[in-house]
Amino acid sequence: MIISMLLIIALIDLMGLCLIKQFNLMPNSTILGRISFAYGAGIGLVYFQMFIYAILKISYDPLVIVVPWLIFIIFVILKPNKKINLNRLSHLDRVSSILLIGILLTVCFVLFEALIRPLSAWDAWVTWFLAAKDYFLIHAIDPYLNSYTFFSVQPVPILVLTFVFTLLGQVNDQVSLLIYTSFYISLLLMLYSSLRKIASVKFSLLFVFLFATLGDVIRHAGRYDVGYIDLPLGYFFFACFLLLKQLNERFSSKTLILLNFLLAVTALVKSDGLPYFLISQLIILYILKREKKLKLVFYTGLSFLLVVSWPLFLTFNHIPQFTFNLFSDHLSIKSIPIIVERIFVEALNIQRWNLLWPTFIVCIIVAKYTKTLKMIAFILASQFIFYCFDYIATTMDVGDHINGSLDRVLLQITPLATYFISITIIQLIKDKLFTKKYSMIFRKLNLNEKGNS
Amino acid sequence: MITRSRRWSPINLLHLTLLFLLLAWVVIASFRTISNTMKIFTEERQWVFLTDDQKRGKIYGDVYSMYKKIDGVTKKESNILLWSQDGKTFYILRYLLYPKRVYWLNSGLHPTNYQTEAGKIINSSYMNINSLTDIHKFTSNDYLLIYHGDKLTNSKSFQTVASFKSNKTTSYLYKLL
Repeated sequence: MIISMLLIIALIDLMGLCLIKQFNLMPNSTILGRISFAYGAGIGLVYFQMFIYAILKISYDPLVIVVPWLIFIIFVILKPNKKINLNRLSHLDRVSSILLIGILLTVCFVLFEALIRPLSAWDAWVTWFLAAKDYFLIHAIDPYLNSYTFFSVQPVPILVLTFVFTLLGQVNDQVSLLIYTSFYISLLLMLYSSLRKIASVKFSLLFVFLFATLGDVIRHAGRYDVGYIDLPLGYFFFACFLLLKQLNERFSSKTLILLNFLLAVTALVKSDGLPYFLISQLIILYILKREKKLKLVFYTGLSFLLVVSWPLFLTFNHIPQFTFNLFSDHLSIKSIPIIVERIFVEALNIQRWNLLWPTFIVCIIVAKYTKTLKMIAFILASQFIFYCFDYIATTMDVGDHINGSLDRVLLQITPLATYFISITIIQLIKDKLFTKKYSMIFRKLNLNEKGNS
Repeated sequence: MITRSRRWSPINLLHLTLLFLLLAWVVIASFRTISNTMKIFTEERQWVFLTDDQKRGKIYGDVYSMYKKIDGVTKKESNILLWSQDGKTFYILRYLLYPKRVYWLNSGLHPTNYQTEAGKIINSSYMNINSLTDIHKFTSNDYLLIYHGDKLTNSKSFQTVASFKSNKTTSYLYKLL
């Protein structure tokens, strides 16, 4: 069963890779970069396939699902290849080798944790896996499920799990957890390939190692005793940010298409992705105006359409939507000190975050705000305001609400925060005065060599 | 030459703090990697040798053995009425038993009439189980699970199918007549 699951993950990755290759959506990217984005793109394709099948009333049958993709993959593979930038694994020195071993050991531990236990998270029993089990059993989106379960959540996790169960031919809630571990591995590749563009192998590996070993990241990538979808959301946040950055630096309509596609998936993964979707669309509009390409706002429109297609589908099919009344009609300003205190305590939780957040806070102060850092800061600040608003307007006890969710919302922005820290450190390394002052460390580590582009 | 005051300027202190944090982070991450790797051979090792049922029993608690029994005796179209004080039991059983439907009688979460009504009835008196079945038209294919509660006494409305003993309490499965 594990082998079948690995084949399904490979299929999802291949689907994404073929999409990127066929439409040349990432022309300047290395193969590692493409693979890391391919997983998210593949997940998006799976979702839209299952959704379109539901609209067209096509039954979820393994052959009907997989054959179109096999044809597409064969068609793309048979086409003549353009040269792809390969990440040449240059000779690794001792420090890089140790870092790489550390990363591989952590990935092995995460895989071990993912495979050793069956389903054990509250959210999975209550929502994702229950709905996927139901859709798998009736081979379609069940219009009656919501009136039994009284929940409405974003559809991507459920339909992707339904895809997996359909191809496996059974509800296997243990091996299907590898779907989530793959987000972790793809995120590590994405972080590495994005850092490698601006820094040395050693520096890139160092930050991948620091990210990979964060307690909360490992917990969500492998142990699965809580949540399920916050790390994937973090993956989509980071992927969309990298495309936004690329769009800002070197405008290309192909990047814009991929970005809008992934943004739509982000909004459909979890409702926390909706504000991110809106913030990113604002930045896209700003870039389009600056580049005098406002006609391309068409893609933004398409992206909006993809996002609203789900609530429209529910409405047209008379599927009731239930949302717990999480927002009260007034803002509880007196909760602010509690929120600040809890955030402070959480940020200092070494068990979950090592020293990520204290380092991040110092970086906020010392960073020289380039375009990229301004963009990350804007996105992070906007998301943070949304999270705080969520807590101020909550109908629940604010302490309970924060205790149950703060580590998960921080997890969503952790890849971005790690990237922010790494860029700030790169700035400092490039500062000759700084490196001279701490020359002993930098001579030893030789971190200040250039990246590959 | 750098003077003493410039050496201890705020920005220098921040740089120094940043370097210290980064180095400490690397040290913590390294220790975590070693500790995690060790876990595979120590505390996590026990999971490797357990069967799937044993693993689920360990995670879900006594609910899992109840699920196995309920799944065995109930039909595909059966409804299971659950009385339990915690939501975890309900959500695990609802997931495991699906497509058999589980209704949580004393749930305050879902604002449907029958559930709040049933909740009141079952909370106020187990003896009113007749009223419950009358109101909601549950059939003789349906079951009632009292999870960690008292035994029902009205034998005309239901038939005891199984009882499950855990540490200090007992749970009962009844078939509605």
